[in-house]
Amino acid sequence: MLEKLLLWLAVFLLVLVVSVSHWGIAWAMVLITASAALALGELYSQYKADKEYRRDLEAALLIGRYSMGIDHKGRRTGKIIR
Amino acid sequence: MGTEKKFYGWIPILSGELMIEQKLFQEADISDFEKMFRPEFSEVLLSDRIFDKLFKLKHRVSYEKKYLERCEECGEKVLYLSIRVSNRKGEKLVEGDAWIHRSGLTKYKVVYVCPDYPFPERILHKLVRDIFHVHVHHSSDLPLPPVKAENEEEAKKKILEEYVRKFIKYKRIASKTRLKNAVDDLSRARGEIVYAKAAYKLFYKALTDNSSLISSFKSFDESFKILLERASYRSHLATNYIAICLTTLLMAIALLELSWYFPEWFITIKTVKLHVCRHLCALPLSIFLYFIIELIRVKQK
Repeated sequence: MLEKLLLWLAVFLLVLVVSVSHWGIAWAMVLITASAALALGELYSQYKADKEYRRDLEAALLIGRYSMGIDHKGRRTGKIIR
Repeated sequence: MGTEKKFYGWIPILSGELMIEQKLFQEADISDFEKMFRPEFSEVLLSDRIFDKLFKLKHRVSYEKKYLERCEECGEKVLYLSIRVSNRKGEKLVEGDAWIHRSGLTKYKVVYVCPDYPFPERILHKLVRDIFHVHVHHSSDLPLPPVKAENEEEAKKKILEEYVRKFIKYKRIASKTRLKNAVDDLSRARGEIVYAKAAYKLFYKALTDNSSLISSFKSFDESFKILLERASYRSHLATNYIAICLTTLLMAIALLELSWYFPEWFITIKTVKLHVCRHLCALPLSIFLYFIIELIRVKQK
């Protein structure tokens, strides 16, 4: 929760700085930075979730979040399933 | 490399007996079984690498022998399969035997595996399971891997224990991962509990003390239900917070932009230097609203 709040704080500060210096494009900046923040937030939370699954691969396999395959040379492959 | 280890897997079913082309397993003959092995099962994508998926580098799977026989242990009718997996060059990667029971319990014996792959029984089980089972509650991978056991009784017990282990893992991970994943995982967990109960009905005789297991499945189900409700509620709330914060910010800017319609005192305040601070007004307001909503939500609960 705190991470999300900090992320939004960063967005508002960025908008503040940009809009004060370039008032004419402030509206566009608000929307662009908010969208960027949403996208970054999504990617970050996805990365954190993947990291959590990777921490215990056997558990991730049991709950269907990790796939374990075999490639054409017979080597083991593994991937987190989103 | 040859191994003689025995593994047992369960093909998840709800019906209590495998259905073979509209017939019960016991009533089906070998020609009915033959119909199950459709051509698409002879080429399977076993690698999960993006490159392999993109170019559809599928492995060749051949079910060389198929016949019905009596199980050495229980005397039931079983389907025997000899499975061989090779790459596109025809090089053998995994080879093994499978004995499929009417309950979905399947015994695997690994005959050959290439040195770099540590879990050949998982590949064999995936190939057999995908013929008889359609995935609904989870991805197409291997949520219940085969267990190593000496005999069927031990295997049944281990499979049920594996389900308990799986539900503990579900709970642990759902509490740590993000809400979106937690909602997804908990939904799957609830779906799998249904299969766990079906497995229990089939295998409970193998347990010496079976009373605690069924009650633990029920408790897990209740717990997952509550967790799912909470996670769903919270995941929807996050979107609301974002929407409210954005709207508040935009409204605050708009109000300050149109400030010449406001009374004289407001204009005065504005001229005092709110030009720089206009966004600062919106920032605490948004965060304040965030906590107000959180407070209302907690009180409602």
